[in-house]
Order: sequence, then structure tokens, then C-alpha cells
Amino acid sequence: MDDKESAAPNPSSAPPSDEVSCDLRTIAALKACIREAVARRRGEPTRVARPVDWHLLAAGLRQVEKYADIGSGVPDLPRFRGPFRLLGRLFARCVLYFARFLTNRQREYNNAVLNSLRNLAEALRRLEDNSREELRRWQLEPKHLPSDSAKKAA
Amino acid sequence: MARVALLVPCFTEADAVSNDVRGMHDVLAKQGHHVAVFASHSELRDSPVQPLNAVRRFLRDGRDVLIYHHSTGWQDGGQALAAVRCRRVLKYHNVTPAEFFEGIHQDYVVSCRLGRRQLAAFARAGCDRYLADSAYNLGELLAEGATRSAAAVVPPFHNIDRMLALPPNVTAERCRVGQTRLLVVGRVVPNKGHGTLLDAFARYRQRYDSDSQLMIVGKEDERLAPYTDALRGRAADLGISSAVTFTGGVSDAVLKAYYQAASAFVITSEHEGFCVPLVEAMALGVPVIALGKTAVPDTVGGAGLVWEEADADLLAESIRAVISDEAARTALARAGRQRYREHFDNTVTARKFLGALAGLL
Repeated sequence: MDDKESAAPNPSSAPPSDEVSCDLRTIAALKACIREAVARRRGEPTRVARPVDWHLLAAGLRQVEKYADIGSGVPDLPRFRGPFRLLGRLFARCVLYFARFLTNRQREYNNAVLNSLRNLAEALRRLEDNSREELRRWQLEPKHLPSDSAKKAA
Repeated sequence: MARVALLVPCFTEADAVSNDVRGMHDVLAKQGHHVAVFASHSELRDSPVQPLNAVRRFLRDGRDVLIYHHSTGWQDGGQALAAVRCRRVLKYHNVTPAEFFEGIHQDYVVSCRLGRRQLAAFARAGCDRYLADSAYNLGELLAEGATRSAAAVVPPFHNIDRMLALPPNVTAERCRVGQTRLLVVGRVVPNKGHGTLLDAFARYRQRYDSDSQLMIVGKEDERLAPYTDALRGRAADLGISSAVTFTGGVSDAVLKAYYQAASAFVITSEHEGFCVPLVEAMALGVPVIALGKTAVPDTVGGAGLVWEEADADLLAESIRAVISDEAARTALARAGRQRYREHFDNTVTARKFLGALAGLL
């Protein structure tokens, strides 16, 4: 980009229309070139691929953990003060006591699903680490690769 | 002249919705109408905003107009819109789907879900006009049942004029020559797809320029810490932590300096109702590379490199092409400025806005 042009944009002065259509053609041609360049590169191994965001997955599981133990504790009810809070907590305890035929099952279900998800995430992460390690080993020692790929890598 | 009430949940500084409301206010006031803004929260000390409960006293006549700005769930605002007996206009800025915030923060999930439910209700409420920021938003309104004959696309007002009028930052201009700096602007929220951007930037750095930098300019919200922490973790995993800067919210002058210093504006957002930063980049002649999801293609038109697929290779190659090809950079900068002038300049928007309200005021 022309530095002078970018430093002082002047919205009132419009370029001629043939210049504009020329710009649009340049952009369309550029897109085609970029696509071609990417297609040419496709054969090369990519080293920064990261299909799963483990941090986001872990953050999501931590969030679920907070709500998994449904019915196990009486809420603090910070909006209420003094005796109202005591009464509120007593009432909440009663409700939770009578609802335990539902909450106990739900809690067991939540924890079972959560544990399964944790195990699954851990297993996937190990699998990804192994794959990455294996790929690295192959890149260092091309003899492990099938003959065509070995030639390329060598 | 009519009395016009503008309703918005929160009125604040450096916010696209508030800038849009301010723009509508100024245009209508200039036409001689008695205009007032009503909000549940205002973060500006000397703002002209009135409390929401005063809106029914303000709108006395059936010919008065209420303009409701819809961008999030707002129970009280929805009730006010249903209660008034005057002409009603819905301005739809889009509501982010709640799924983006699932497992990150419940407040966002609740308000986005409410916003989507309200969209369906408002679209069928028979408002006198439905104004959408983009053709994409218009499609959502019509899909929910809004009347086509009462609907129009009116882009949002913005404060780009104010930013353009600020003196150029000479140091920032020099920075552009010295080092490749990629820029993205917008709140750091999950629908902005920063993960794809980090992947693309990592690939660009690895293949073409290990000295390049990425600036992520925008406010962060503590409640979304799981997302922002995950982004920083991802940057660390990719080995680009030292090259990525999260600036937080910045003033107009600093924002302009970031645009001036930027070699390219790259945005990989998954969901946008319009995306004002794209228009800012175009107005300031910064080449745009974008993922073409939701309203992004409507906003950029042909004036940028817009890709349908979130492909890190494609984005990295686009960055390389823009940085290394001067003719391409000039063409993109010129096409961007042209698009801004023709479609998104505030005077153009004012004409569209008043045209859409013709017969109502």
C-alpha cells in the first residue's frame, strides 16, 4: 500500500470507475493465485495443526463440574439477610430433602457422564500426543514411511 | 414534529450499538424531531440518557415513534415495546446464538437465548418498520415472520468520521514499514473465532515471517475467562505467545494508531450481524482478509479477500500475498475506501435511515 495514501485517507475524492473495476479484477485474480498456491502446498505436512482445543474443552468440563452435584448442598442465599436467610436455607433444605428421589439419580447420572467425558478427553489427548510423536519420528527417520513418501521426505 | 424515543439496553463508550443509537439520535434531532434515548444502564456520566420507565410518559401521541435497538435479551425493553401505543420501529443489530457461550458463562447463554426468543416475538409483533444492519440480519427477521414490505437494510451509524479526523500517528505509520503487523479489532468473545486466526497466524509465522506480530484489540470480559485463557493457552501451544498481543479496550486515537500500523486486518469471526471494525479497516485503507461467515460477505463486498472456509493455509497464504504484493495491497486499500464511501459513510446511512422511515415521521 502507498504509505502516503494510507496516512491521509480522503473519503471525498472518489477514484475513477475504471480504476475501481481494475482493483476488483486485481483482487479476484489475487484470490485465484492464492487458491493455486495453497493447492500446490497441500502435499506438504503441516506441523501446527491443532484440531481440538484442549484448554477450551477442559474449561467446559470444569464449568460442568460446578453444577454436577445437584441437590448436595444448600444454597447460600446471599440476597437474604439475618433470620430470612436462616428461614430460606431451612426451607431450601426441606425442598432438597423431599426432592432427593430425583436429585440423587440426577447426581449419579451427571457424575457418570462427567467421568466418561473426562476419560474420553484424556484418551483423545494421549492419542493426539502419540500421533504427533509418531509423525515426528517418521519425519526424522524416513525409512519408516511407505516408499513414495520416504523418497519425498528424504 | 414527532417525538422519537430510542430504546437500548445499555448506553456506553466505544460500543457499536451505542454509536448507532447516537447516530440515529443526531440525524433525527437535526431534522427537528424531539428525540430522547432511554436505557436500563448508562456508563456515561454526562449522557442524555433517560431511565427506561420514563419512556411511556415521553410518548404521548399515537403518531410518536419508538425505535427499539435489538442486540441482546432485554426483558424490560421488550415489555416497554409491547406496552406503548404509538408507531414502533425495530432496529435489528443481531443477537449472537447462545451456543457460542455454552460451558463458558451462563449469563451470556441466558441473555442470548432471551434475545433470540424476543427476536421471534418482535418479528411477529407487527411493528411499523423493521430495519436490519445487513442483508443477513434482514434474512433472519424475514425468516422469523417480519413483513417484507415494512423491512429495509440500514447499516449502523459509527464514529469513523471522528477517527478519520484525528491527526495521523506518525510513529504508527513508520511501524507499518518496519514489521508485519496483523490486526483484529472487536470484543474478545467466543463467536469471533480467534482460534482460527491464531492457527493461521502461526502458520504464516512459521512459513514466511518469524518476526511478524498479531494485535488483538478489544475489550475482555472477566466472565469469559475460560475462553480468553484458552486462547492464551492455544497461543502458547502454537509457540506464538510472544508475538500475540491482547491490548484490551483502547481509545479512538490509539485504535486509529493500530489501524495505521497494521499491514492487514484479518478477521475469522464465526458470527457477525454487521462487523463495524471491517468498515473501519476499509475506511482507513487497511487491506481486509476475512472468513466469509454470516454478515461478513455483505459488509466487505468485493473489497477484501473473503474466504468461505476456515482454512489456516488459505488465510496464511492470503496474508503472504497481501504483504508481499504491493499492487494487491494498493488495490485492496482503494477498493476498501471506495466501498466505505459508497455504502457506509454516515451521510449515506442517514439517507437510507430517513428513507426507511418515510411516511412514519
